[in-house]
Order: sequence, then structure tokens, then C-alpha cells
Amino acid sequence: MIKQLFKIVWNRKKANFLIMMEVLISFLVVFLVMVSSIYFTDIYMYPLGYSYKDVWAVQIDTGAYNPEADKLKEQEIAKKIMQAAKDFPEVEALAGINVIPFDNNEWRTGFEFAGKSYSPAINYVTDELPEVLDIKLLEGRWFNKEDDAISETPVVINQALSRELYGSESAVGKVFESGLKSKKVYKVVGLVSDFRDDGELAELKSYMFQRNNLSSTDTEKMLLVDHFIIKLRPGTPAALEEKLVKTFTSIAKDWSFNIEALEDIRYKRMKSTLTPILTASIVAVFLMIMVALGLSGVLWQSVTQRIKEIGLRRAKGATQGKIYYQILGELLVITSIALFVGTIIVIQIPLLGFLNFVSIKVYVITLLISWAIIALLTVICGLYPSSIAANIPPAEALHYE
Amino acid sequence: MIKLDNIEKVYRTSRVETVALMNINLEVKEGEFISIMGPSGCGKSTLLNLMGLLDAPTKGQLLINGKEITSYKDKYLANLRNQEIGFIFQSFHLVNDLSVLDNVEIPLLYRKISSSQRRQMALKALEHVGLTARIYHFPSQLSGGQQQRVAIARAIVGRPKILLADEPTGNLDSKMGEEVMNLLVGLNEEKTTIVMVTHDKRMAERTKRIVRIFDGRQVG
Repeated sequence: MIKQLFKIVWNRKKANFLIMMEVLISFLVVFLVMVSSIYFTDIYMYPLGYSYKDVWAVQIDTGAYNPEADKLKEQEIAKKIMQAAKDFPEVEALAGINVIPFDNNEWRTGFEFAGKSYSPAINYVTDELPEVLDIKLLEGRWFNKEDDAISETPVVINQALSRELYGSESAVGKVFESGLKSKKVYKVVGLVSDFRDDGELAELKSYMFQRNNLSSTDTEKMLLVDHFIIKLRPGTPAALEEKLVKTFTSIAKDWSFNIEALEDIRYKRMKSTLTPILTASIVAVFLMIMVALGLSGVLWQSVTQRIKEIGLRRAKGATQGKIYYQILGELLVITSIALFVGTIIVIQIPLLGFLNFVSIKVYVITLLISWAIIALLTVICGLYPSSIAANIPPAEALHYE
Repeated sequence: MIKLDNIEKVYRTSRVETVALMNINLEVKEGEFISIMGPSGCGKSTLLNLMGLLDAPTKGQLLINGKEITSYKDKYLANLRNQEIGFIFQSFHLVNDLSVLDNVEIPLLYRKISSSQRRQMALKALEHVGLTARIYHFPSQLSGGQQQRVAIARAIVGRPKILLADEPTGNLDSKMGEEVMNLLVGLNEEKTTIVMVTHDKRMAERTKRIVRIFDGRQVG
């Protein structure tokens, strides 16, 4: 019977071409929507690596860039501001940070290691960061006073970078050189699972923290703090923001300050990422509805053209069930051929170097889900025409004009 | 073999009621070759549809091999059609997308037999109608007479005991009609019971009995 189904589908290839194209196009649309949905769902499931609850970010604007500015003096003022913030009873902890989480900003550093180039994201942070963002170390330790004594530059890296550099070996205690002219030597002092500063919907990347030692007078080791983050006691009112700005302005009259909750920054970031995805999904859903209606129409027309044949088959001993399953079976054969062609097309995408950020796991899951959706869609679209075909009385079908 | 007892067939719509057959009493014995004659629209094809279990009577009893079958379900009726009855139609009803061989195999698809056995039986049926040279042709590549011979091969491939022919020579010229009729006579000589609807008096005269229908009633 299966051989017969293939034979009929093949012999009617011209008539079935339209259905096949509809199925193929729907598969490609579903695949593209699903690949982005599954990709974002997959990366959303990975740990963020920190907590943003009750954390505010303070951005310091020192005015126009002045290469002649006294860096040490500015640092002193920044430290005074941070101390003033710390003195507020609502503030539980405070840390200097170069790149604020969820902010659309990124710093990268580059170096060569074992003959390969690496360019992980880098963030210059102070010793108090784990208290503010509740960062858990998997191995080693965070930066502390011990680091003042070591000659290398202490860094804490994430698991992705550790795997890239050392494979399954422990990274803690190991050293590597920067690609900078100064040939800075980094020493890994700690390992975190991750620090996804671009948020839950951003791609996973290798990451490293470098210590920003505010008490150092060596401007090479110290980076001007122009951002810091504060952990507040739960339930702190928004009114504190105004008090903080007033206090900071009294210390540095020429500087301006912007305070924003990390939750709000995260919301904005999420919105800007999700809006195009949701728009594309809505368009895809409408497209699928149109495809489903079109497919039902084409199938219904195909059944109508074959009513006499259906009558003949009934006269020759086919039950209603056999007719029903034959029409559905033919549709599944057509769908399988279209899915086969569609799969060959989508396999070319990574082979040609597109969608490289999507992992093989996500690609395979997307393929399976897209197959299932299209098979389900075609079966649903085929149920009504098949049922019409099965329920036509044979005598009527044989004389259908 | 086939017995129709006081059969009535009425087609109803919400507004109109059309009596297609009324008070039909007919018995077709095993090995008989009967023809049903009558003007167009008198109910001949309806009668054939009832005998072929393609339609159900509104009233009356229909017996096949002594069994009253009007109350049986679709699955049983389909099986009975498949095993016991062969159909030949005026317009051949061949599936244009299938080859001659595949067309002949259709009734066997609904039996539990292997594809090689199916092929063997189909080839034998085609040999019977003299079309072994055309098994891979498609219906559109055949003449009307050849198409009807394929239809006959398809009707006899399952070795049914009853053959129902609805104007089998209606679409053929006299020479081809003669050829088809000779085939039917031959099959009847091999003990196949045949009921044939026809307009053609000459063809009807070659059968053993003529039943006449007029306005849905049996008149002779």
C-alpha cells in the first residue's frame, strides 16, 4: 500500500507540486521563526551569573574628555562620592564597575594563547562586586588585598573562557599574557560560572574580570571609576535617588550623575531584543494561518478532482476508513518529500557560514520541532478534505460531474 | 444469487421527493446473464447500484447469496463488493494517473495479498482480455475499446461471482462493442453471473433474460 501511495504521488507530481511548494515554504518560515525562538529560549535558560534585584547603577559624567586632567585627583573625588553613597543606611554594599550589566556597552581585550587568538569581554571591577551582585565563585577567590602584592594582574574568568584556554583543566593559578604592547601577565585567581552582562537573551561569551584597585597610585593598574553600582536594602523607596544625586553634586559640582535601577535597564534591554522577535513571530503566525487555509483549499480542490476515482475505489472494495487514510497517507508522502527538500535547504545554512551562533543542539531541536509542526499542520489541514472524500456515497461519487 | 424483494428507492431533498424505483421484485440466479433495459432516467442504473451495494434501498429486502444485507455496515459491504462483485462502467472509470497494470490491481489492494501475487493475478486478467502488450501504458494512450477491456480485466481480477455492467458498450463503436460483448459472453460461459444495463437491443438479445424498467417500475 505504501508503494502504491508513492506511485500515485509520483504519477501526480504535476498536481502535487503546488501542495509540495506550500508545505516547503511553510517549513522554511517555521524553521526560521523556530530557530530564533529556540535559540533565545535556550540561552535564556543559562544562568545569568549574578542578581540584579535592588541594585542601582550610578553613572558619573565628568564632562568633556580632557587628556590633561589629573587622573589621580579625579579618582579621589570619585572615591569620596562612593564613600558618601556608602554612608547612606539604605546602601548595603557598593562596587566600582566599568561595564554596567544590561547596558548596551561592551569592552573586549585580545591576546594569543597556545597559538590561538582570543578576544573575551572584559570588565574592570573593584573587590566588592560579589557582595553587590551576589556573584558565586565556582573555584578560587575574588580579588582582595592579597592581590596588591602579586606582580601579575589578577583576573577572574568565566567557565567559557576557562574551557577555551585550558579545556577540562582547572584555570585557577594559571597565567597568560595579554596581547598589549606592555605584555601584561594575567593570573587567574577565581572562576565564575558566567557573567552575562548583556542579559539573558544575549549570546554566551567568554568573559574576564580585571581588578580595578582604587587605592593604587599606579595609573596603569587603576582605571577611573565612572560607574558604580549599589546594593540597597529591600524596600528602599525611589526617593533615595534624589538624595543621592544631591549628595554627589555637593562633592563634585561640575559633574553630573544618572541613577537607574538595574531592573529598569534590564527591562529596556529585553524590550529592544524581544520586540523584533515578537513582531516576526506574529507575522509568522499569520503567515501560517494563511498557509493552512491555502493548503486546505488546495487539498479540497485535489479531492474534488478525484471524486470519481474515490467512487471507483469504494465500488472496488475500499472502506470509508481506507479512503480516509489513503488521502491522508498521500498528503503525508507529499509532506515528507517537501520536508526532505526543506531539510536539505536548511542544512546548507550553517554549511555556508550563516547562523553560526546557533549551536548544533539548537539546530537539531529546531529541525525536529519544525518537522513536527508542519506534519501536524498538514494532517490538520488534510483531515477535512479526507473526511469529505471518505463520506461521499459511492453511487454519488461515480456519477459526480 | 441476488434477490430483490419489493425494493423501493426514493431520493429526498428538503423540498422534493423523487421515486427512482418502486416495487421491484427480481431474482438473478447463479450463472445467469440478464440485461436491464429501459429509457434514460427510468432507474436502471439505480437498480444496478442497489445490486452492487453502492446504494441502499429505501424499502424492501436485498439478498445476496441468501443473506439480507441492507442492515450491514460499510466495512462488511465493502468486503462483499471486493470479494463477490465486479463492476464495469460505461465511462470505464480508469484512473488516468495509473498504468494499465496498476489500474487492474486496484481491487486487490483491498485484500490481504502480496504484491507479487497481485501482479500475477492482474497479468492473468489482462491476458484474459488480450491486453498483455499494454500493461505499462496509461489509459490516455489506449482506444475506447482497449480502455473498456482494461476495465473488464479490473472487474474480473478478483474472480468475483457477480459482474455488474452499466452500459459497457455505450461509449464504443459497434465493432468494439461487439468485442466487449464477446468478452462478457465468454465470462458468463465460465459461470460468472452478469447483470448488464443497456440501451442496445442487439446486445440485450445476446443475454439470457431481459428485464424492462419504465418510470421506476418493472414492466417485464
